[in-house]
Amino acid sequence: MSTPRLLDVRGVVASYDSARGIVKAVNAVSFSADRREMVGIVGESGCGKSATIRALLGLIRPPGKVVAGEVLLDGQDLLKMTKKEIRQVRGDKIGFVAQNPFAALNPIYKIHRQFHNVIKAHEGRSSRRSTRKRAVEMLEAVGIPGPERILNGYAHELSGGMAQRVVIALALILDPELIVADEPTTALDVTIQRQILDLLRRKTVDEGRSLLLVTHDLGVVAQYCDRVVVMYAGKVVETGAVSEVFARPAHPYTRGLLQSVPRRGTKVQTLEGRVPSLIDYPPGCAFADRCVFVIDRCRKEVPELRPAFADGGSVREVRCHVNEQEVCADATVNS
Amino acid sequence: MSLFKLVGKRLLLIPVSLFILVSLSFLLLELMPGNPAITIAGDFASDEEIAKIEASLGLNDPLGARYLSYVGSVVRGDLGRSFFSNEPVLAELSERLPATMELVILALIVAGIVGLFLGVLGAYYRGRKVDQITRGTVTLFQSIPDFLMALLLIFFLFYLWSVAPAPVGRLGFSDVAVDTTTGFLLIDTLIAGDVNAFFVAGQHLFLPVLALGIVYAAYFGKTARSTMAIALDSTQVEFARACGLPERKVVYYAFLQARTPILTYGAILFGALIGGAAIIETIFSWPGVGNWALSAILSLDIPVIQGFILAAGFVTITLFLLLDVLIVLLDPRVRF
Repeated sequence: MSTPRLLDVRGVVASYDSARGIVKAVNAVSFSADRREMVGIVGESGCGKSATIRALLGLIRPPGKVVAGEVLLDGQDLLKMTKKEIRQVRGDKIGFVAQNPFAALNPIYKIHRQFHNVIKAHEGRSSRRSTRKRAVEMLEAVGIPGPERILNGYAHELSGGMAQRVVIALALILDPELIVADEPTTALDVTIQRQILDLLRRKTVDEGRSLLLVTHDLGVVAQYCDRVVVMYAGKVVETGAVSEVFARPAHPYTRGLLQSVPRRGTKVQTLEGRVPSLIDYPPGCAFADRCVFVIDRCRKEVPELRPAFADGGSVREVRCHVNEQEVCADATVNS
Repeated sequence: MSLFKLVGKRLLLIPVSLFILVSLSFLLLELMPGNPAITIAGDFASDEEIAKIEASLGLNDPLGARYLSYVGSVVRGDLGRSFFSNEPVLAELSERLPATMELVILALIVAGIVGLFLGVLGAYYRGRKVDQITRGTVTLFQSIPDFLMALLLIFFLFYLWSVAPAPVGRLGFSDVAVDTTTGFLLIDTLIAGDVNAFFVAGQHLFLPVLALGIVYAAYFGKTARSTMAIALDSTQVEFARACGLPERKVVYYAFLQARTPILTYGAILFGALIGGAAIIETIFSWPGVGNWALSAILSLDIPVIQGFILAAGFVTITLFLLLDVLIVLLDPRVRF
């Protein structure tokens, strides 16, 4: 913790005005990421993981807005920036990898024109020849054979894996320090998933970037990420090094998630119940109704994020009233 | 298959479609009640007079014989003569169709520009003040009938403020017409090199184009707002924004997605307006096909009605062919 972290997200709150009331999709979320580090953000759909990364990219559109918090990238607060400044950060300092490459790429423009437009948006007028040269190099770097042909073609002519590589190349063309990937492999088949994740890992670790990987796939987190942020109902409920969190989950929700991963020879356990409505947020812990460890205090008092496992090797935090030793004690989880 | 082949195939289909159109309309007109001979002869005509007129129009021939003779002359390029004016239908059509087309094309350009502006603004600022204002404007435009819009424009712009000429047709009474080449006055006056006549023609187009343009801007506005709203919410637009593209570029990316349905809607409106501008044509004494067809329908002038149906069908079919070609050229994903 001697050098400042590349990314420091502190107490970000993003809310949406809906017809039925204000929804806090991101509720005081804090986490951080170092260089050469892959941080997984996991949770069920609707837990606020996608909204969180959109908040830090300045991509929350009305009726939603970010109402509090800080997003420090290299010490600069992105949330205090003007629209013009944050636009320059997007693409240039933060590269975004979308979930479905075919939905993300422009279907009308040739691939080269899409690279050209991104470069032009940040560097002003550029010759088509120079942008082509850079695009060729970047496509080669993400493992695309015959980049010239790809550049002259359209997105719909690509395979899923190739299209996602093109998206990654677009995200990396301006050499960003941080990569934000929103379920980058959900739309791809399993063999391609590995290749894409290996590629992202190389681009992060070997080239000194930092990666936020939003996913609901715990297997991906276990295999690729260094640290994990578990989110539930708009809040961070647990953070820590992946190996430690998977070995000793401190939050009952994390424990439930880990037990619901199918494993050979054991019966799959499911998490009963549903995520509470973010409009009528319960007075106590949002997970109380589904929790097997629930105590009276959980229904009255909102738990705060607190340090857990002081004996562990790294910093761990959990948002739970119950003692973490108790939660992980009978967890039949081994990663 | 190449685009060339597609166009060739579709061009070959045009006569087939027109043949079906002519046959159907011929049979349907047969079902219309009333006797054109009575309309021509007047209320006080004797039975002999009516019978004479019926015979001269060939109305007593069997249906099959009349159908064959009509189709035969259409194939030879003869659309017959009006029952009333005795003018050849084709000659009148070739004068009136360009007048309507000129009006409708310009009106749709105005409607497209105004409508897109309102729709895109509304979609971009959805749910906010700007959206309320543009939606209110669109609703206002849509709720004013075109004839009322025309009368209001005439009242203010001609009668009160005298910035537009009187609604007396394509040119004023004292203006000398130029030679007809295309039938489009704005083009013909330029070909003749008569700049003064060009401006006179433009002035006379101003009010009817504005009246139609404003009313139909509402339709474009509605379509543009809904398609743009969907496009602006798309992953593609979010990704463009996440890549740091400037907002106007982001909006343009959305427009690339939204333009196909908007264009299609424009083509449908065009087809509908070929006959649908009849009231505006009447108000502005415009010598177009709409009011011509309308009076023919009221007086059972069958050759004119047939001629109009044929012309409107031809224009619409050609337009949709052009639209399909345009869509193929604009969207690399479209396969045919």
